[in-house]
Amino acid sequence: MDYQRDFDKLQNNFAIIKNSYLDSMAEHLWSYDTRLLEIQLDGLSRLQGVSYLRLVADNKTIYESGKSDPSDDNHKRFEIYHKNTNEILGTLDVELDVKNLRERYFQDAIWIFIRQGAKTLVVVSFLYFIFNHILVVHIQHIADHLKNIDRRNTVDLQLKRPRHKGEDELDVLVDSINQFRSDLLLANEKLERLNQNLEQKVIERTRQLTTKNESLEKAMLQIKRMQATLVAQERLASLGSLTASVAHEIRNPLNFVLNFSELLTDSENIEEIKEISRVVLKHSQRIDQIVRSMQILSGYDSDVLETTDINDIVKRAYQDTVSTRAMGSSYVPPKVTYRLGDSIMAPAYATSLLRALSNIIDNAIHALEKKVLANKVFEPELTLSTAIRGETVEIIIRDNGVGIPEILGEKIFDPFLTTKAAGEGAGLGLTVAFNIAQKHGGTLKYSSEFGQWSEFVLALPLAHERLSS
Amino acid sequence: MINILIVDDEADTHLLYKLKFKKLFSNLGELNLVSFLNAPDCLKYLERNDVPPVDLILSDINMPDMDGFELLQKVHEKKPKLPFYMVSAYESSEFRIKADSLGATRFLSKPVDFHLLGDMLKKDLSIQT
Repeated sequence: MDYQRDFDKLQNNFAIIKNSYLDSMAEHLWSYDTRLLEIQLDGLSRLQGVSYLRLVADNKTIYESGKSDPSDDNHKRFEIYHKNTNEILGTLDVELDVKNLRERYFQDAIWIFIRQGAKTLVVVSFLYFIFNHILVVHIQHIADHLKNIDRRNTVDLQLKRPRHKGEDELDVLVDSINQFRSDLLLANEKLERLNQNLEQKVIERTRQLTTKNESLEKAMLQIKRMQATLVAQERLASLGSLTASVAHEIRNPLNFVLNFSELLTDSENIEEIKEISRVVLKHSQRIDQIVRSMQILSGYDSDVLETTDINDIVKRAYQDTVSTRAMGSSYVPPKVTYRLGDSIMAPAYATSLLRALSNIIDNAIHALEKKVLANKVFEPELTLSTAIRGETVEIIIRDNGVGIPEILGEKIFDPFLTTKAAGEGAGLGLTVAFNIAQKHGGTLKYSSEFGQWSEFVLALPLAHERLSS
Repeated sequence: MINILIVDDEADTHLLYKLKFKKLFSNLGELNLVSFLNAPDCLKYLERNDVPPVDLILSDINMPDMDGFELLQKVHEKKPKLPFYMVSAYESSEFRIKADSLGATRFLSKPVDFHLLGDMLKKDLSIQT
């Protein structure tokens, strides 16, 4: 703006020259008064902003001063006319010092820039100083403090500045930070305490568990020891009770054998002797049966495993049982049904198997007898079957007698369990049969409906490992 | 007359006692033996009024329905002084002690020694008479 104004002022020189000087210059040219012209032109050249002057008349340079540096905007050529004839007397070239003006303004501009820059710098520094003093230092202090806050420093944050009344934002910030820090510390402490408590609890629990485990282990050991002791005691006890039972079973018939035979020695009554002999024989057989059973149970028998016709054994077992019962004038069923498979040969201990089957058949007949005694119209049925099923031979003894109470379960195989009247059985029959099945590597199972029927299945392997090897 | 009750679930026992007593104890005087195959029958007999008074009971221990111990207890509830002999094939101290504690007069084990039984009867029944 300033520049434009100065520039316009400079341009105004052209107008001044045109208006004020050209006419007198024309006169002087006309009169050719060079002295006056020179004075006039000197005056003109000293005019502010005129850098170059040249007056040409009749193609002759009359006056020249300054340096020429022509450009579009600083150069003007004036034609000097005669005021009456309008004849061109000469031309005046005027150049204005625009460059100088420009430089001056440029310098001014730089100067102003520098001055303003300096001013700004001063103000900024001042402001910075103030700002720094009243704010940044404290914020840095706060930042430093916050950096160290986790390192368990217990000092409250305080601003390094004189106390003053009221509370500004910094005070609020500091208070908040202190509050936050103390809260954090408190929380941390709490957390740590909790952690410690937890750790202690864990340790305590672990200790308790270990103790419990130890006591459990001890208890386990104790139980194991007790178990071992119990098993040993049980064995001894069962041996004891077995011995006692066997003794009891033998003492009863022995009582008769001993005392009756004593009577025989001095009896003269033939009827009495006959009766006594019958009783003695009966009870001697009882003792024999018991001893045989014990032998089979203990494995002290001379039986040999050989391929045997199972059907033959089944028939013989029935016949033996019936004839034994007939001898003791016991009940014998009116008929038996055989359902035997074709030529069933299997490895067997013939004598033992015969005994096992006889025992089972005798029980079946006994079950029929009980029902017959209770019910005169009852039709007893006894069925003996053999069949090959897979790798085994099954011998099935079925009767429609009194059945077996469900409560007895597998106890029916226990030794000395009997449902027969005294003197009729020692309770070893099924125990022996079960053992014989096992001796063959087979099984003895039963099913029954109490009051309706019983069915015993003695299964023997078709191939015995002792034979095949 | 001496009345003796015999309780045993084996029928042959009664034949044995009958023959033995006839042969060995004729010197004890007239003996009347009454046999029972089970304890309840014996108890029923004791309640009867139309029978001669009982002097002694000889009972087995192992019997179905009611054993000798129970019979002994029931008999002694009514007749605490009635001599009661226990006879068992179980020769165990347990049975012997139990019989003693229940008040059995004698404990005999099978096979029965009838000579010993005769001595005992002489002793126990002469005290009674």
